[in-house]
Amino acid sequence: MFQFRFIFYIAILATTVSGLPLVAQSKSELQIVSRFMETYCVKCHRGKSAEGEVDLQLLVSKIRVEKNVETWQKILNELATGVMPPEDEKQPSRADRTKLVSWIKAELKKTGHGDSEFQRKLLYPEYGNLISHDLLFDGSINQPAWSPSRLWKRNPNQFNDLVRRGMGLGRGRHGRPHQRLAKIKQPFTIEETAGISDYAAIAIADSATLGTLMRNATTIVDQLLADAFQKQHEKIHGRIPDDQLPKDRRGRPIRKRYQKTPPAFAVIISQDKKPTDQQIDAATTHMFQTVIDDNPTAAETVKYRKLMRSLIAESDADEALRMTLIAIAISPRAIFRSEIGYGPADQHGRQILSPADLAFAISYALTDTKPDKQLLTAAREGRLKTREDVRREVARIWDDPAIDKPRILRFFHEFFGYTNAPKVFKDGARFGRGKDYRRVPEKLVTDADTLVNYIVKNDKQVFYELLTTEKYFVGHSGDNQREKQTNEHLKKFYQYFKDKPWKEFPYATPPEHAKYARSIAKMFSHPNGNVIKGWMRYLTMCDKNGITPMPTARQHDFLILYNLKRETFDFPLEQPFALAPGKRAGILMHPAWLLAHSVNLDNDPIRRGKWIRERLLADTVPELPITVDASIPEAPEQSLRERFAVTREKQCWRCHVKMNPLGMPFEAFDDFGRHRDRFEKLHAKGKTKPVDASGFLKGTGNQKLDGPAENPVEMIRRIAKSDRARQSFVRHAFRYWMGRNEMLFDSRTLRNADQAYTENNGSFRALVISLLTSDSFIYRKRIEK
Amino acid sequence: MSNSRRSFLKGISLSSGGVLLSPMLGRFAAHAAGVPMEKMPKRFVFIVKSSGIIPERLEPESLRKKLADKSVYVNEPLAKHKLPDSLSPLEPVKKYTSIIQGLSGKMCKGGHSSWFGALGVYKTGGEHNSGVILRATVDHELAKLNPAPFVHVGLALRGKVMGKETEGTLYPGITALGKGRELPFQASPDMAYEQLFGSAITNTDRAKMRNRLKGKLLDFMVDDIKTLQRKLPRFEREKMEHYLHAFEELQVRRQRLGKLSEQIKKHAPEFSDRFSAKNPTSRQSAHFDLIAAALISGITNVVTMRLDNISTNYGDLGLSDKNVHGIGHGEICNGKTPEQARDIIRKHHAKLIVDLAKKLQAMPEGSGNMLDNTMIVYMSDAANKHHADNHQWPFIVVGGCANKLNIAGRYIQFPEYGATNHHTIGNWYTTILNAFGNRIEHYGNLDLNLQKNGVKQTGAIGELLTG
Repeated sequence: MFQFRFIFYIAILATTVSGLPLVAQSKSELQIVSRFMETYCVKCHRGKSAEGEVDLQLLVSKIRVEKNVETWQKILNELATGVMPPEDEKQPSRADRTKLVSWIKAELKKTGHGDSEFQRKLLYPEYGNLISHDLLFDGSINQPAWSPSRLWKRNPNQFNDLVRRGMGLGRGRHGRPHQRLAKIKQPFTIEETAGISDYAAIAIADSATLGTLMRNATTIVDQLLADAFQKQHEKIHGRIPDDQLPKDRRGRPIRKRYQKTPPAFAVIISQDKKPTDQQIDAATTHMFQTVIDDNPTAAETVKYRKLMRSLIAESDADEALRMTLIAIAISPRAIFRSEIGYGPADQHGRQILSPADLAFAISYALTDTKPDKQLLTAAREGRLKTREDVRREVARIWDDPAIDKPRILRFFHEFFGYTNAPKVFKDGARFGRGKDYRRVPEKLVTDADTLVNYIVKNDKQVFYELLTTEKYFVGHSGDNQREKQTNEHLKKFYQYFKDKPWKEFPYATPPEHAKYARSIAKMFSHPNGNVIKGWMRYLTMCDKNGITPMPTARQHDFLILYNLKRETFDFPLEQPFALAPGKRAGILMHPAWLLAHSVNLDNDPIRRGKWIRERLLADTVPELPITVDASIPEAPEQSLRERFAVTREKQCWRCHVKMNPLGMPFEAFDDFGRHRDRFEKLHAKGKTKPVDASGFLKGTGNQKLDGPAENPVEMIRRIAKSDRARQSFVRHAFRYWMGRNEMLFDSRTLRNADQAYTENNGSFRALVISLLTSDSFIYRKRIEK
Repeated sequence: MSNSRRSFLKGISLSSGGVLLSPMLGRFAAHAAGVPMEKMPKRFVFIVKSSGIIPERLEPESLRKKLADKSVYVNEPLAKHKLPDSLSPLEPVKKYTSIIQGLSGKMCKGGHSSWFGALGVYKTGGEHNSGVILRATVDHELAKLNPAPFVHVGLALRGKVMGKETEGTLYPGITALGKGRELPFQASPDMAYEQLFGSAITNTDRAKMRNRLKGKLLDFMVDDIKTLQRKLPRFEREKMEHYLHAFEELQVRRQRLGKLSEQIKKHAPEFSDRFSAKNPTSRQSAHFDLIAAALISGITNVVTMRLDNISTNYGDLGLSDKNVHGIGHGEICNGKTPEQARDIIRKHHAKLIVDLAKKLQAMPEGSGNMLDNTMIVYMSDAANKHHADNHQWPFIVVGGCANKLNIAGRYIQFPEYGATNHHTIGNWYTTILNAFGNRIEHYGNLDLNLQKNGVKQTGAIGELLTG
């Protein structure tokens, strides 16, 4: 059934595979439509006992789309997404299905309703898979690709980066924003959806965004101008005498000090005459650089000059400057990045991105920050005009370890979703007596990040490795050298203190011991009595048990979720290491992923199955029908799999067959992510039953891989070998880096990326560079329909 | 943006007619000054909880027998009956309280949330996606009839039905301002305070000048965006339209708030750290304080409150083991059955509502009090249960409804789904809109199944309308 799937065209697709538009409603067409419906739909949807209470018999006997718009919209939806007819029923040919879909769309359009809901769906990440996977990769579509000319709202990370860089008020400490910026709030939000989320088309700025921006702008501008205003005030009224100032607790006057106002602004405030055009332009340029990270265009310079002049006429230069700066901070440029395309259109109506827009596009593809000097210089000097130019710059940034590229890891966060582990509420008491669950999920996420970074850095068979590696990081920084060094420090520390009376140490460690501890390494820079006792208890235990200590003295409870024990875990200094071969493999069996895809008390085989179905098998799962009262019976004697037997009912199984067999193998783990061979019955401590972790794989597009699976490791290994899963991974990377769903005309971009990946021994770098040098990334086309 | 809407907005801002003038005159004076009750603003508070409201749990014990036959119409005064324990906090305002049962909403999506359908009467959305916005939801239709500086205030404890976010601006996907436009909800009470009451705090010469310049700035921005918009492809123009609208909204609001600053100063609650509290119940009560103050000061007439979502954990009510989702799925929570847990939560909600009602009741207005002109609607976006089938959609209403609806102090049960004289939420909302001045023939989409079976389902419910 999958081959018939998702063949439909939205306006912007402009792709015609079928050559048979049935627009005019002739009698013979109606007959074709009725025949189709009679053959494939009415058999089940008729009379009082119609499936889903949808009776199509009457509808078909006299077809009048304008009278039943809603029902026809529904039919369109079901047909185009391939949900209907159900898999076990007779299927229409791809061509027939396409014809009917086109006909319904044309008829709906005539009624003035159209298929807007349908088109709109395609803008959202969760409907990306509605586009036929087969058509995208079978090589039948060779149109030149492009992205629509668009505005893309800045995202929260870009804003955070701007704030971290200080907005003209200085950088904060420890990577945090400057305290002067404490009142700055995040104006940009991203819809919280499962998966890739920053899509250009759905990111709009409304009154709430504006409200926050407005408050931010006022705060920033007032902070920037405060010093100049104070100086001006002092010039006129003199310095405020000390005795009129508020006092601190020692009675000293508190004189507020502000960040020095940038000269471009200060000069306007300090002078008594009206500002010159040059002064206004300099202030405009400075503000643009501060809040927009770019220079104003000539037109913008003139525009703000005019605004400033008109405001001066209403008030004075100081207030006019203040308001003009606010205007810049809330201008469309501060909110949207433009990707419109420039220059003459090619024969396909496409324009290349301007060098300046390309510089931003490249920079924001890999980092959260503005383009670096080299990119800007390249753009300015005309060296950012071709695909090769883009390739050179992307490769340079990718390969430069000094450039922070958070966007790469974030892709894996959004693809795998393991970062949601801390959001799943778990009852601490079930975690274990005396154990502390509070920081556990975060620690697991850090471990998963380390693993992903390691595999991406190795850059060999990245996708396969991510799914199948049996080597994990546990409590390790990812830097073997650093861990060895830390271990040396710990040895030194232990050797020194083991003969000292550390158990008797008060909170203030005797100075000579404290001094020695500090001399070992920075990690002992606060060696109070509690710290020393904490370490020594742990190191003594390690020594006694003959194990290598971990690089932290406390918070080892997360080890439980790897089926490890603090008392026996011999910390491998060289990681990743084989954790539990045959039992655990890849990110999907990492406790962070398992936790993130569990519910409060139990595993969540449905969501896990859905995840695999959608993210790895490029398939869709219909939405929960309204008639479903989805509850699983409480049955302490039964395993979750047995309790889920209710989903075997015919009407449930149609959808659940797509999820349960893929999600159930993870029953090999409990809902905290611990591996188990037997499960404990609910409310019956000690009574256990063996776990059934079998599953059934279908939908890899490869009959050799499909079929029953004994356990999750076997199942995931087979999926990882499939072309379809790899291509699905490529599709998700496309979505992430293009900020939209792939369309059929992106076929070439996707195939090239897939090819670049496979030809380079599974290099993720090659995949991303291929995407970022694709037509879909570089070209824009104006969509007016 | 259509010209008509813009001129409509401007028209309102410039009008000095009864609706806008009355809060400035002061409520006592209003009546004396001859502003008829008819012209007094009508207020609406929609309180939308998650996870459904189980219809049976709203039935007074003494009415059980009479209500057993779901196929009949029942309209009983509540005065003769004791409210179920979970609604007992409403006893003091029982004469204002109505419980309305038997409505259906099968034209909406079921499951965890009907999204915009719950107040917009149509099917939309998925598991995580709030879906398409077809039209303004009924709460906003009422806001349009009763304009105020803040046309419609959205406050929320959390965002989407399963969302985990609790701060800043959120989009629960339940209220729409019009086709394709969602109402943003403020989840942080401190930020809501600043947004609602901040403008009235200072009033120096400099502040006045800045206010004037801000007006110029907004005009400039509107012109600037329009110029830019003309250069964009169509789809992006629409995106810019949202931004443009935001500026226009600010323009109008600025003018209106200017006229109300005295009122605001008088009624704004004193700012304190309770607006920064993190636990859900404290935040809920902070939001309710803001609702009361915003209504009393006249800066808004319509508030929609997203009271919780299924990720909410009511730990402070002794229900720490499970969040609303867990309880909804029938799990035992701190030794309580799901029904008991739901009752505890509902009782807490009822307390919040009664506090608000009492505050409004204490404010004289015309010949009565503000509660007389208010309609507080308590409902769920998941109709009748955690995974709603929308077979029934219970509503609790508190307030005099400006005497436009014949429901105060009554328990009303409509005949069940499919029976003669059965009504849908479409009828119910049509009734409300008709009562308050929007003579729409029918609000919302029709239930195709009822249509197929020939059940009449358009128009207002006559027996609920006064006069």
